[in-house]
Amino acid sequence: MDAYSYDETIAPASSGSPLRFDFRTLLVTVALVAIGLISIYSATHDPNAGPDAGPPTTFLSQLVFAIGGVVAMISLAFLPERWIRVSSFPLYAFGYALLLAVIAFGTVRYGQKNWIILGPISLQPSELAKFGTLMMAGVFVNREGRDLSNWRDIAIVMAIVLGPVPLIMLEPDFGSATVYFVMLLGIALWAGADLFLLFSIVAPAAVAIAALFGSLQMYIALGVVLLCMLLFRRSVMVTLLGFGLSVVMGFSTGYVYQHVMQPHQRARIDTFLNPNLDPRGAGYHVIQSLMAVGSGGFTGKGFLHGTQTQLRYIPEQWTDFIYCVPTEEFGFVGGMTVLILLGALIWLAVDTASHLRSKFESTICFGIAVIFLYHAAINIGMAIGLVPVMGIPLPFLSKGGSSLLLNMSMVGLLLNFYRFRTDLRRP
Amino acid sequence: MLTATNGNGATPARTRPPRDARRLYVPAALLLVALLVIAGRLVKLQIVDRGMYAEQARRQYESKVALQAERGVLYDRNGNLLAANTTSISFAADPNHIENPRKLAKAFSTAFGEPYDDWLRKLTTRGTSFIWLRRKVSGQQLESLKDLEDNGLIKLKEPLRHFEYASLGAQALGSTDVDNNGLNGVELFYNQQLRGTDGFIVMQRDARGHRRPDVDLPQSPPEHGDGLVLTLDINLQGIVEDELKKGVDRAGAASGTAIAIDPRTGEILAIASYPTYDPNDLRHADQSALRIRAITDMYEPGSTMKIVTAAAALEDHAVTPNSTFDGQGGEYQLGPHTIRDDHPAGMMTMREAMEHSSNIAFAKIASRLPAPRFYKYVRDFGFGIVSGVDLPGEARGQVKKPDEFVEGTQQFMAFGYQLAVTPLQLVSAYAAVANHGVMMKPHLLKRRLNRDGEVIEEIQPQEIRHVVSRETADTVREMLVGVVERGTGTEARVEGLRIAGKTGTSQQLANGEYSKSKYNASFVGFFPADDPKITLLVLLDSPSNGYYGGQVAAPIFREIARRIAGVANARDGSEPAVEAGLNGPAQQGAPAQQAVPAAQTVSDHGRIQVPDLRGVDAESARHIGEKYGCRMLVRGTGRLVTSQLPAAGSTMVSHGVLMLVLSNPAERGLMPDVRGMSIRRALNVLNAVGVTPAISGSGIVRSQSPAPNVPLAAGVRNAQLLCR
Repeated sequence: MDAYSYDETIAPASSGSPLRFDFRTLLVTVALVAIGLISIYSATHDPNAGPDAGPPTTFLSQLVFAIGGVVAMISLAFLPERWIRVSSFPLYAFGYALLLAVIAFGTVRYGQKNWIILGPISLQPSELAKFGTLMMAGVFVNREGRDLSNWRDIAIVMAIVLGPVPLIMLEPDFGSATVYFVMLLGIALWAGADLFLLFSIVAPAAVAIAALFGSLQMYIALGVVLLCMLLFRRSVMVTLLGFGLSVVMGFSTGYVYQHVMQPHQRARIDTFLNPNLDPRGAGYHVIQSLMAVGSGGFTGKGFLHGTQTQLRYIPEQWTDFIYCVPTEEFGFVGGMTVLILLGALIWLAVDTASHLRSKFESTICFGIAVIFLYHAAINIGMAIGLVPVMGIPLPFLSKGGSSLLLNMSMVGLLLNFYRFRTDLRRP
Repeated sequence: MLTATNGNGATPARTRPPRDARRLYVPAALLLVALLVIAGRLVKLQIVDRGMYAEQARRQYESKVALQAERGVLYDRNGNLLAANTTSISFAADPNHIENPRKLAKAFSTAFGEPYDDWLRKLTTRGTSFIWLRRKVSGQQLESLKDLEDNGLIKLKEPLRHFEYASLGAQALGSTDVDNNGLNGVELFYNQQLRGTDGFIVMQRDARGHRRPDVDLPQSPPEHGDGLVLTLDINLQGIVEDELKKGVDRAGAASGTAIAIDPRTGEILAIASYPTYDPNDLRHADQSALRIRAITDMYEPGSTMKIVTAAAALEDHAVTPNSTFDGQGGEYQLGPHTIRDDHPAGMMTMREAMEHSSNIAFAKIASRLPAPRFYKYVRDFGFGIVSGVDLPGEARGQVKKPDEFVEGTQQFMAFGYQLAVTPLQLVSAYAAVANHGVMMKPHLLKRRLNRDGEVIEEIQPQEIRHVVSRETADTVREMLVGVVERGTGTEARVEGLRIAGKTGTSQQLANGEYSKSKYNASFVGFFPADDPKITLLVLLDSPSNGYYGGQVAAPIFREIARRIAGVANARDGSEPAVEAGLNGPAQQGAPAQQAVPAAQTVSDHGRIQVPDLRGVDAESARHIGEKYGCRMLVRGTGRLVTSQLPAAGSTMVSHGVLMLVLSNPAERGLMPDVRGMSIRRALNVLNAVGVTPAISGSGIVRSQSPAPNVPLAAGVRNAQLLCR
């Protein structure tokens, strides 16, 4: 019933071998981090500073975290699997504690109270909590007899994964909160939850987005959803129930948009739909970002020669809009390089997940892939005007110490679990 | 087989393979879709629509900054600086960002005297982000305002035309408007040459609006305006204006006009009107004081016209100087007209008729010429046609054609009625007589200089025509000497100087009738009579203490002539005549601080190589410059010289003007040219303008960014120097 079932006789258990090392994942990660550092350097260096001025502090701090990240990644890669498993619950609990702490003592940046600042160290607890949550979910799924086809287990996984969400929404950090929902869907998918059920959950979200564009778009989306549901060939009752959810979601979108969303969220959606509504305000980021990407052309304007980047037309470009830097300065070539590296990393993680015996390891690998995919797709989509602006960083590239450290730690786990890889892909 | 299969697992085997495969398809499909969508979007943005976005971005970051060409300076014939440029500060406001409008309004109201409420209204104007408060503030007012600070207060450095001699020659030199365009006079006539061509530099503008120079972007340096050396002699101008003012005041006249030209070349040496104005303070100037009356105002010349009649009749052999005419006791009936003489006489020779200015005799002389002949001479002496002088607004005058003549027209014209002339036309006619019958084109421009002080055009004297023969001209000249020695012009006599001249008194036309109270009184003449160097006209409009030209204008002429001769005496010692006061290259470059006669001993034809004074402190620079024999003109406040004009290494006439610009880091001027300097020296210079350079290489500075003379915008604090 789930992806972990395999035939013991054809896939003998193999213990982790230090000889087996995932160099590909390591190289891809290092390449991404390097591109990130180059991009941050370009986006923060001061062209007017003299030769003695030295590199920008933002770049240096990211460099320090990158070095720390390499250490963390390599260490985690060789940690005994049991230690990881054992540390899951403490990490999960620690994540909660930090989320509570941030609400109590956190520092507000850009209207969100999501930073804990301890002297020189500033840290975003939602990053750590994400990591702990994934491990905790892995532990649960791994327990004997757990099966996501029964409602009780589904409820427990939901409770584990969505537990931190209310705390994150309090910050409020809408962007980070969405990651948990996506993570839940990923875990559920991998752990064997009913596909129709998953589809019934995802479909209303798609319908809601379509509804934001207009009624016609919503009806078309509903039609597509109905068609897909019919292909599942479930009973009429079940199909109607699942479809009903989408219908309700579609029609209530207007109400949510009008009465539930906060003005800045509404503005983001409005400007996503039409950035020129407010070119100096909410649409500014998107317009400037498109100009940076578009004007980059095929080979780009050259390192440190991107006019949009160097003239600082994109505020705080080194955080959420870092993707404009390689695309402007190295053009389509640069943009595709980043894209392919990210795609490769994600696919390597999925591939590892599908070759692992242990449900714990496999779930975590798949979860990591889902997290990376979601972050990358949303962040890049945002930079090229496909997705409304929300605070989701680009893994390995965006400036942010805790984010980089945690992402590299996750790669550390990928490297670690790779050692237990079986030669045969699970059916 | 079947049972074995069935019993092997707890879960039904039929469902497992397809569903598990699908589980892997889901992430694979999502990843693929995401990759394809993003890659497709990148193709659209970066390849298909690239041009559009590049253009959008370019429009956003490119900023064209005009590089204002420096207006050419004006010199007099001796190299005295007449008009130059200084910097002033213009104040503007962005009302949206004004923090303390009351404080500013108070300061401006104190400085300029306009009501506080008016300033406050300006400072709080809605719906604009830029409003001029006051342009080109300098001097005292600037002192009181320059320390004002406010987020919304905009201070712009703008060039300000400065006339070194204030009102001297004001009408002829003219003035400039706030945009540095000539308004009148030479400034208007030669605006094109003086203005030069503005250049531009394309700079990058960053998100905060700061501009950054970029060597890769197009730029075009400004072509600075030409320097103009005028034929004016500022010393002579000073004398003329001084005496004209005294004379106008003494005679109680409405206004006065004087013009002095060199009869041999047509060069205008002095041209003045009184009342006058200060071109540095246009705000308080009376519009009528701006007119160059010598070329714009027409009048009936009266008796001064008689030389034309005399020359014409002599040239056509209709008379000789000794031909006699009947004065008819002062009253002569000509058809319906009566011609009167102020000094009734009986029989007189033509010479005596000139000396005593007999209208009757000259009416009779004119009668001896056929109308077309008479008209031809009037035209040949330049009446009724523009002289082509290089000043704006010249009037043509009015002269009737022979077919318009009625009975008496020719006779009245013979003594200066029934036609209108400008003072310049009249003085040119006298100059033609002085120059042995050859009329020269009057002009004001002597030579054009480029920015380094090198001559790019030398204006050659231009002959207009031979009006009369040498004999005729010399005969008339001798008659005019008689006028001064024995006739109506005795008031113009100067001991030791032979002067030839003629008085003129004419009634002014008012409402079609000749006024009995308003006259034009004039005296025109030249000296030294034997070798004329100066032709001078003095004209008073509506004198009230006496109205005869010989009475009110001649004394002014005399005083001017006396003082010019005096200058000459002081200057040359041995030579008593006006000789040295006026012409020739011998005086070129002789410095003079004021428009009063000052003995100048320095005279040098040589050219010198300009010393490099950039980076030198002000005191030493002055010292060195003086050693080279330069006249120093220092602009700006600061410790170090940051730029100089002419450039180092170029050549200039010795005793020419060397302009030094001092800068201090607070008031940011133009980027100095540091190319060719040692690094240490370049650092000193850049430090003085508040710029910190980044240096690559070592040795001598080969190139620099920003380029020389680029305005240092508030944001530019850094420069790049490439050395080798």
